[in-house]
Amino acid sequence: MDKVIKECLQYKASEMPISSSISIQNIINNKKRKKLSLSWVYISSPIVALALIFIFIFIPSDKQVKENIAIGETSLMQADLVTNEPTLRNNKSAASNIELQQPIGVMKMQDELIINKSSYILSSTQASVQIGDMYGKIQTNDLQQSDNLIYANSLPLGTDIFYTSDSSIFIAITANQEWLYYQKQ
Amino acid sequence: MNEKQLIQKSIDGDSEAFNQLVQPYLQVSYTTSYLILNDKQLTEDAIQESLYQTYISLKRFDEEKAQFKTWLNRIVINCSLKVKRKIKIFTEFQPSYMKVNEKSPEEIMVQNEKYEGLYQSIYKLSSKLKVVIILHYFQELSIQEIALTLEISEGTVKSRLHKARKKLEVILKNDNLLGGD
Repeated sequence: MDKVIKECLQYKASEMPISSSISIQNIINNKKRKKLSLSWVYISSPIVALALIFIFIFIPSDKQVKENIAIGETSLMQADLVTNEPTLRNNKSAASNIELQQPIGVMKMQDELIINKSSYILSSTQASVQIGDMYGKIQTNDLQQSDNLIYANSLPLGTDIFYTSDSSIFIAITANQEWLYYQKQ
Repeated sequence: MNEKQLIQKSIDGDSEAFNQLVQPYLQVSYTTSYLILNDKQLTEDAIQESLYQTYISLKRFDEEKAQFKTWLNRIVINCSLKVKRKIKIFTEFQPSYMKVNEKSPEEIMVQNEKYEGLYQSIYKLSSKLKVVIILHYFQELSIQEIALTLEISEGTVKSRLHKARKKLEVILKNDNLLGGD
């Protein structure tokens, strides 16, 4: 058995070529290169992370503000404030930004507003609506309710309404600077 | 220049002296590391790390405690085991039939398969047992030399060797790898 083990190990060892060019200077240089490239990773990581944070958080938000300013200056009808549920967070900041824009044209509601009733608190003249992480109030003299929907036929005097080009999303800013979010059903 | 002078020159920063110092032991270092790791690239890494560690800690080498050969051997084994622990690779066994041999291709194939099978069994032993087997059967070190290299007692070496042999014996018998021995 000893002989077999010995032969086996010798056979296996013969597979390994010996590097003839190995020198400690090369090894040290390799180590330095590796350290240098690693240090670049360490140095650049926070910079890249900050850049990504800037790109993904600040730039879209800034873009949204610019869009909203443009909307205020030109045509509110062109605003594409929200397109789907996942962008609700941006929409919230958009709405807040709109709130700061002065003056904002007053528009008349052409259609009845219908809001999903699943998440709202209703009193006789006021509805608090929560959609996603957005929160708003509707103050009107004429709230109607059915099983699942709330209808706001008229809104307080001086309420500014913003809506997307396809009229599916509405944002209202009341005279008290409260903002409202409506999604047309 | 003798080994002692080469060590001193290496400590003083003479990299050429260091290359000369380790040159006689490179082959056995490479093969020992390869037998532990069973992977050529990892062996290269382990050897490079071993030589680097040897170079930077040469000042701590005490010739009264051990020979340079034993000390280097210990570093190579430790670095190889460290690489193995770190990577935790599962190396696929790849039989090599490329060796030059006077035997017929069929005989070579049978013999290689036999060795590969046995090596696989050695490779699967725990690191402690495997290293003892490699040092004893491949490097042909005595019990005392193995004890010095691994910094363990001779009794521990004997016990590990016995355990490893028992395990291998069972495998060899089961797989009919012992042949005529």
